[in-house]
Amino acid sequence: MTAPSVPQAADTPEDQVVALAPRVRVLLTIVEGADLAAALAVVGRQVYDPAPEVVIVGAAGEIPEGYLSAPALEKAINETDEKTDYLWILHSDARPRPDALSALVTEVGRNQASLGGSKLLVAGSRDELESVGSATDVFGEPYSGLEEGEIDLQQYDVVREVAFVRSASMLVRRDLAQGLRGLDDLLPPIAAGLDFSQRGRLAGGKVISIPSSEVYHQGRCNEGLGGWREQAGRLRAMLTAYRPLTLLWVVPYDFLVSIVDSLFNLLLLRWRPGARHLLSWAWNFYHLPSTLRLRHGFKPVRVAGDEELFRFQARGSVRLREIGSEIASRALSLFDDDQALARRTRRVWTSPGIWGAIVGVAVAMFAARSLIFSGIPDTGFGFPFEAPLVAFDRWFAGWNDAGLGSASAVHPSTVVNAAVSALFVGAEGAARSVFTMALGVIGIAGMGRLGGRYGLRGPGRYLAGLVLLAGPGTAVLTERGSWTGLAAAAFLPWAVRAVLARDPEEKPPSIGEFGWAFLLGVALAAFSPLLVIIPLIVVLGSPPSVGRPRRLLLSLACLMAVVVAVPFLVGDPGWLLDPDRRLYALPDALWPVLVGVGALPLFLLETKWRWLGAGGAILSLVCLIAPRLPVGGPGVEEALLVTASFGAAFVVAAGLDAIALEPGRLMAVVASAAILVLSIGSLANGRYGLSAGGVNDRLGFSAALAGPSGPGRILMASTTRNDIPGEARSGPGFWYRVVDGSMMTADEVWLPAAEEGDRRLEEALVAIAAGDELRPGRLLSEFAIDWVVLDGPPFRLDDALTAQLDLVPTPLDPESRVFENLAGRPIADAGDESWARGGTGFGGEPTLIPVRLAVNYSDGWGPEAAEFDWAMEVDGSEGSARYRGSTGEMALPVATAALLLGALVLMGVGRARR
Amino acid sequence: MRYLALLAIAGLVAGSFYLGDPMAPDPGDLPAIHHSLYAVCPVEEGGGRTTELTTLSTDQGPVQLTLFHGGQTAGSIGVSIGSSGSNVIPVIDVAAVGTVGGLVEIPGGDSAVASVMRGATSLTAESCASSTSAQTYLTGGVSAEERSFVVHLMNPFAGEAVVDLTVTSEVGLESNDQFNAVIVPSRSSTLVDLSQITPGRERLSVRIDTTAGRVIAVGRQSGNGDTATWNAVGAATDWLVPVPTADQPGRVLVGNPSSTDVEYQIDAYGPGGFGEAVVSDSIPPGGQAVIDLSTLLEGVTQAVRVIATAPVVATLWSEGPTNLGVTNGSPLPAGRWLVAGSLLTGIESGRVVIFNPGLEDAAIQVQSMRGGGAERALLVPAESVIELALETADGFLVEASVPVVVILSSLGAGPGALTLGVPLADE
Repeated sequence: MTAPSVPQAADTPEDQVVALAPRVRVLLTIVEGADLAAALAVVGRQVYDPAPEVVIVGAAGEIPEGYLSAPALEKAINETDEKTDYLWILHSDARPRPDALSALVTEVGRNQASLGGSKLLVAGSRDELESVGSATDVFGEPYSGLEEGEIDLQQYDVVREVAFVRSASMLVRRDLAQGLRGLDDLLPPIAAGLDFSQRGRLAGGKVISIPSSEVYHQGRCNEGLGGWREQAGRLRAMLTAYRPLTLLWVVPYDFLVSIVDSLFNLLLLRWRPGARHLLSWAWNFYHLPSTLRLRHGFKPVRVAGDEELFRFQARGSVRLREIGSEIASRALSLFDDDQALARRTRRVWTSPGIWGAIVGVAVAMFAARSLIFSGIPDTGFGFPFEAPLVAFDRWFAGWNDAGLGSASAVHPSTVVNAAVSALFVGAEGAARSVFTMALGVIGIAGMGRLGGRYGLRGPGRYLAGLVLLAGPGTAVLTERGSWTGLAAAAFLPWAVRAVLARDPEEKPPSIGEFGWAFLLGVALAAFSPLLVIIPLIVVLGSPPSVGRPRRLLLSLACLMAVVVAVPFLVGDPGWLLDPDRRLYALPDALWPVLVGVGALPLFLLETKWRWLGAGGAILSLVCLIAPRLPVGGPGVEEALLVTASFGAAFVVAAGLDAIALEPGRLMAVVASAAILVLSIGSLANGRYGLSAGGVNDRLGFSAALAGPSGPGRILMASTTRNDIPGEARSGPGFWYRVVDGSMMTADEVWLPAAEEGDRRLEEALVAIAAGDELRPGRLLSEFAIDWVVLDGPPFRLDDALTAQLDLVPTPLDPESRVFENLAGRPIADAGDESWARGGTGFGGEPTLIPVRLAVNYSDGWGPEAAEFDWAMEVDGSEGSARYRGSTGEMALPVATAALLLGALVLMGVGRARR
Repeated sequence: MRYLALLAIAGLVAGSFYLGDPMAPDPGDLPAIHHSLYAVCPVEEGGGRTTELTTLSTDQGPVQLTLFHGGQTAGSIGVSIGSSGSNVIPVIDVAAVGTVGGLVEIPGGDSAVASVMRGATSLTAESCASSTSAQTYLTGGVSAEERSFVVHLMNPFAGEAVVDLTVTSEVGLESNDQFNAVIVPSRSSTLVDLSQITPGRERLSVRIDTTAGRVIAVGRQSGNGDTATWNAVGAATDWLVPVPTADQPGRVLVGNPSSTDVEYQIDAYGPGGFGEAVVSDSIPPGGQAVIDLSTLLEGVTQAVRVIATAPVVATLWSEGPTNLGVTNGSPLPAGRWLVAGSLLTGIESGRVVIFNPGLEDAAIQVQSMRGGGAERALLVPAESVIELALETADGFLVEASVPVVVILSSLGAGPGALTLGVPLADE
């Protein structure tokens, strides 16, 4: 102490004071930016006898005359003499009421406690509560139970034991403080309080909150900001206090919580929590020696077990509970335009919109029951995702493995599938299942929120989501197994909503909206590229408004998202242009009548309903009729059919927006209900209308019976187009395609434009079907075809394969005729050796001879690829072969990724501004 | 605007009806059929017996014979069919290989291959099979009195085949481990000697169920110094069996491969006319009925028709003191037939037997298949049979104005054989 000066006590004789009240020393810790003089003044105004002496702790400059000072809290505590009974640790940004000290001393004494904390109120507020002592979870995460901005109405005014009190104002027994060696200097205020409280309790002390001691706290000590130092401090407090047995499970548990918390926040584009966890663990790792020293020093003082701490701790993890709460809140807010749920108003249950959402989601969940219990069917155009890294590799100008392979880009949905799988840490099956089931909710919520943008408030806007997912167009797509059609339908209303920004008068422009428009456009374009034009059409078709120019700009941002699909469209223009490749998915002829009739009563209603009904009906009717014209390929067909359902959904949203007994409204309700019921009918199969089947299960024999080089390819043929999984090539009188024998995946659904190998395969099939070839197995081995599977009714190939010599009929699949090709050759054939698939390439033992790859030749293959007939040979000395697209082919995927990143930044900036 | 929208909706709804459905995608046209064929023939070379394979084809081109045994190619030869439409391959020119299978690959067209085996006192012939079936049936077979009855299972295909044999005799269902899961490796043949496994049986029937891969089965019966070979065939409810004239007992065996009783009736055709349902009875599961032809139509039966309530197999069995001929009936008549078997022609007893089961007379053209072969015309009246002695040839193409059934017979004083012709699709 540098200035031993005792302030003047009251006039009472000293021995009498000692007899009346305990002696207290105030340790006033300097907080940067806080007014020290004011702090000293409020301490001086304390009504307490004997008047406490004040020690200013941590003062850098001169201290006011008449006060003691100490450089650190520990020193101040240690140098306190035995005459002092209590130490009042007080921050210089705290402003205690005059009776605060007296209340502390009285209650600590009365309750035989060792440590007492004041009730902290936010300085400058109308008695807003900051702390009344806190519970924690096992990781030391504070759990005060206070609502944000909660006013002090004496609702917590009861003295009670708590897990910890804050160091802003705490009274501690002098002997205990000296035993514990004071607060940990390395810890920030809250963590220090927690650490001190925990150690005090384990040393046999009682920690209580004393609400009658009120202290206004300016918060200059950064308490409550939740910085990484506080987090690190909590971890250190935990490491210091707990016994080894407790640490054995608490530390790994905390680590897992940190990971979950980081990932969850990353999903919400919040990077700071992850960084805080990282820094926190790194800081503790760095300070581990001092932590161990602290533990060692604390050991002699400890008298109680960890159970004493557990008594005051909340169960589970506060952080995980907050994550769950936020997820629930965000999920509910999808259906809560009016923020009724967020505000927890009673009218939430009287809101027809909420009921529409509940019914819609319930129907969707019922419609997904088979998906939940039996998994997603592998049939038609819906197949499992590839491993995320492989899928990303394919999309970034990697090898397209569909059919006999091609350098053409894969379908853009591959990149979304990869991203979703990556979010599930590579659990592609779970990713696909959860994502597919979520599509129902996404579609229903999207339609509801979009309807809200148009001023609809009734149940119809959410129920219309069911029409979107299973209406006239989507139903025929899902019936063909078009998983991407279902996904595109689910994302379409969100993309449209993203461009229908609120009018500028209502809300200032946000660059985040451009980010959202692009991001949702990418999601939409990835599933059905042509649909990104729909938001623009909707904006152009909407009545002129003040916000139209801005909406047009957002539509263009959405339209730009087609960049994600450009490589695919350029590589295979037939997907857009060739009518012969269409799925021939035609809605029933009754649908146009239903949609037309459904729209008519809306003409008798108010303008907003009339406009929506007419617009939706015209959009739907045009798109129901257009597939009957011989124009456009499967991409056009898919976009038209999804839009047909989208338009019909508008009719239903408007028709069911309100229920009343007026004739016009009644007719609208009946007609819309008819469309809704017919749509729901197609969901009855429990798979969102997706066709049943497990092609990969059926063809599982190929992988099960494969040799060391892995399965080759399977040739599937049928006279019925829909028997062939994914896209089929039209052959000599039948449909056919080759599929990967290991498992057909989503990236293989669409076949790239035919190349030389495909033409050669067709020639081989013509020869086989004509009966020219007694050894078709030898002919097919060139294409690494190990199995031939004939589906549907018997046809010419059945006859041909009955009268041949080297394909073995094998009864492996009761639904089809299976022939094994014992003359089959591996895809990567290196003579006696063969290579197996590895990622998007092949690999195996290095060989001195070239390895023949039975894929269409492309000069992107390496090392040293040389054209060999329609296929190629590569140098086998490296033990692997890989394809890498040219810089030009890489440019668009990279540009897309950059734009996506830009969109995310825009959204982040927009969020920050908000 | 409101009325314009209404008009647009009405127009679009009307338009949807006007447009109709577009053309369904088409998988393209089927290519013209140009069948390459194969035929699988039993071959026996050595032990005093030799085999000739006679190939007939309406197309010219190369023919490949491959003898397969033990998973290997035992011998191979390539020949060609010229303008005569026939070729005879003596197997001795290829390899001396014992009892094996022979695979004949034919370039296309209508074709038939017959395997003719000749020994010092024996002659047997049978058309070679050119297709497989999951279940086939051999009716007939005797293992008593030191007679040998062997089932020859041939697998010229890729992948091993597994067959189950269900053997039934006059004592009932025969049980033996050797009948279960008989493995016939790829490009091999397996002999199942029933005279060793089930000796002393007078009436054996064998059902061959292929559980994996494909096999072609033939039965080989020896007796009276002669040998007969006939194919295992699929069952049918209707069989037509021409019966050649011979001074020896003939009988028709009707086998029931199913697991239930089957009712059947026999219609007989003779010089005196047609006798309907001259025999009718039932056959127990797995059993066979033996119809002695000498008891029908006063002992002169030229053909029979077997009609059953469930699929059966009808086989003609003709046995004399020095010869034995066995062949299956035909489930269907046809307008065109190829009958092959060079060794069966040009001898006193060699003749073609043509059965016209229809109600119209059949105008028949018979063309010899050998260089400069003659062509003959004849008329076979409705519901009657004509036997035609012919000059030496590799085989004959028989074309009829109405569907008929044709067999080639060489039953006479010495060793003889019977073989059903190969029906061809109508042109």
